[in-house]
Amino acid sequence: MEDMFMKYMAEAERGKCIVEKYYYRHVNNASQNIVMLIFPDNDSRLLSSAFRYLNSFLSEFHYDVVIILSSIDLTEYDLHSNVLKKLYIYDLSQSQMASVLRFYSFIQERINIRLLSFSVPFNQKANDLIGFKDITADNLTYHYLYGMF
Amino acid sequence: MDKKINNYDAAWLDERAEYFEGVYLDIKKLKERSVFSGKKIAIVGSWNNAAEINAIIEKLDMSISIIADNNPNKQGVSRLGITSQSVESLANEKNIAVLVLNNAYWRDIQKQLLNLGFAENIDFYIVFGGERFMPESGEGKESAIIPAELWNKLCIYAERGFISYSELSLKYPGLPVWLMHQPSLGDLYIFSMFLPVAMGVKNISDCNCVLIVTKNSVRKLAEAIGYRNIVLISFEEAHKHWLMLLKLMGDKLNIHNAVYHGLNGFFQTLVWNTQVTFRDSFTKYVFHFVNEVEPIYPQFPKRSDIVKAEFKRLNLKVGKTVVISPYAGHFEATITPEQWKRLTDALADKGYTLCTNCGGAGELPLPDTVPVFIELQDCVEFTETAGYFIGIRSGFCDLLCTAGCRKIVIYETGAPAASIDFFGFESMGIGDGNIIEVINDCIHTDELIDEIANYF
Repeated sequence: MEDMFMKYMAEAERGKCIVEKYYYRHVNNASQNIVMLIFPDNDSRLLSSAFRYLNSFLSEFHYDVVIILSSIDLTEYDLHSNVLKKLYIYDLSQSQMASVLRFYSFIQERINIRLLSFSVPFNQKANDLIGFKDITADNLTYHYLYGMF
Repeated sequence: MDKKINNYDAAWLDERAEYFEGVYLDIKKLKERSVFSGKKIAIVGSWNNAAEINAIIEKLDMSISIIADNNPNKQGVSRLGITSQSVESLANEKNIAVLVLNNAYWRDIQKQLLNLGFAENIDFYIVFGGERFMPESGEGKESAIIPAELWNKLCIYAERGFISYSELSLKYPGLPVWLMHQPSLGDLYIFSMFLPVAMGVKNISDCNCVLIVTKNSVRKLAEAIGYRNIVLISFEEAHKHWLMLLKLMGDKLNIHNAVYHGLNGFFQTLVWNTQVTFRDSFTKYVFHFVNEVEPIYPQFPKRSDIVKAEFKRLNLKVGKTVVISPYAGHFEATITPEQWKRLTDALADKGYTLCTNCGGAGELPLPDTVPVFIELQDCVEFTETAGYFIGIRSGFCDLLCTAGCRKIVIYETGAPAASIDFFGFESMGIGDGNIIEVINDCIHTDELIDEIANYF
């Protein structure tokens, strides 16, 4: 049993190292306001909502720099042309992303890192809420993932 | 090792009490500096805690004039009898002192107020509620994703949670564990309507599982409705250790969160922005039912002889007694003692005997009513014997949702814990369909009292 705990703790620690490696790469100016976004799911409902509201989110929360960690192909969204703030995108392997998700699920709701997924955090997933009553990918993304009102 | 004594009967969670005590001291210091002299007080960012903040400000012999919020759904509605407004509209107000009371969004509100032309510590004040609740040191835009000290603390919490989980797994091998960390009767009752469906059995006593609870009253309810394996732990242990373990590796363990909150805020954000109900939080988010299912109402023991003997002892009339439940664990209703008195006088004039459900510490009986402590296992039998029930929306009302008596439940506009949209029996499709649901908008409360009296 104890080995099991150590295994997932180690995975979360590896995720922490990966996230911090990219974060510190861009912390070179104390006045910068950096946010890190994690994209693990190739879910078109989520992605279209996420990129529709991305500029509003960055401006509402006064972010200057956005770092995207992704394990999916985002080229079709042409983010470098559409995102109005300084943008860095890094591709992660599935294994690296699994560690990052374990880390995020553990810490959650920190101010400068957000996970764009309806399937994680683990245990209570939101993806099957979409379509129930008036719940849409848009309002889940806008209100919860981006925390806007 | 800490030798902290856990109070499993606490009316208010220690954590909240400490925060509000800190808020009181912070505002008191501001008052001593005369920052409120000649000014109207506006509060921002404390919608959920508005009643507690109001009580604190009244305790300091002042009053709230304005409640502002950035959520459009919380603008233009009554909260404590004050029609709420947007934060932007504060710029149109003159002579105001703004208190920012939100330890999550204070930075954004601070920036917003500065952009509106307010000056910090002159026109507005950020109130954290004491040093303990101030932002973690080192948490700034240039800091790490997570400060090392906090990371180490979370790792220790998760490890402690894992040790507790391992011990429980040895005691109850193979059984699923449900973590009911919310210390609320209503949460357990509604959860229990759907657990048998989720486990493919006919009633609670057939559910072969372990239930973790965090309050004595919730444990007693669990026993009354048939749970067999109940474990009582402290609220603090549930939140720090067990929920951290679930966040880390809940997908790998045989343990589940029994409520919609604690692991993430997904469902919470839907409460204000969509039509979801409390029932949905269980059916769609705790149990993930694909199709809607019929609830299986938990059954209470029948102890009519004991209840009738109690009626006799208390001189209450069988079939003509009103059980009044004016208290809830998570909010204080905005009905004054004078308004309750008007109601009890009107009911007494009509020949009813009256009792107050005094379930918790500090819950005093209403004037001219008999205080009763109703055993949870007898709550349905007791109210059916009385014939009538009036209660502000609390978990106790959930337990009575199928009781065969006249039931009047009072909701409150703007109070999250008593929202008719989220907790309403009709909107949830729960109960026997004979529940009279009324709303106190905190402006026309006198008229509401008359309306309630007219049901008798």
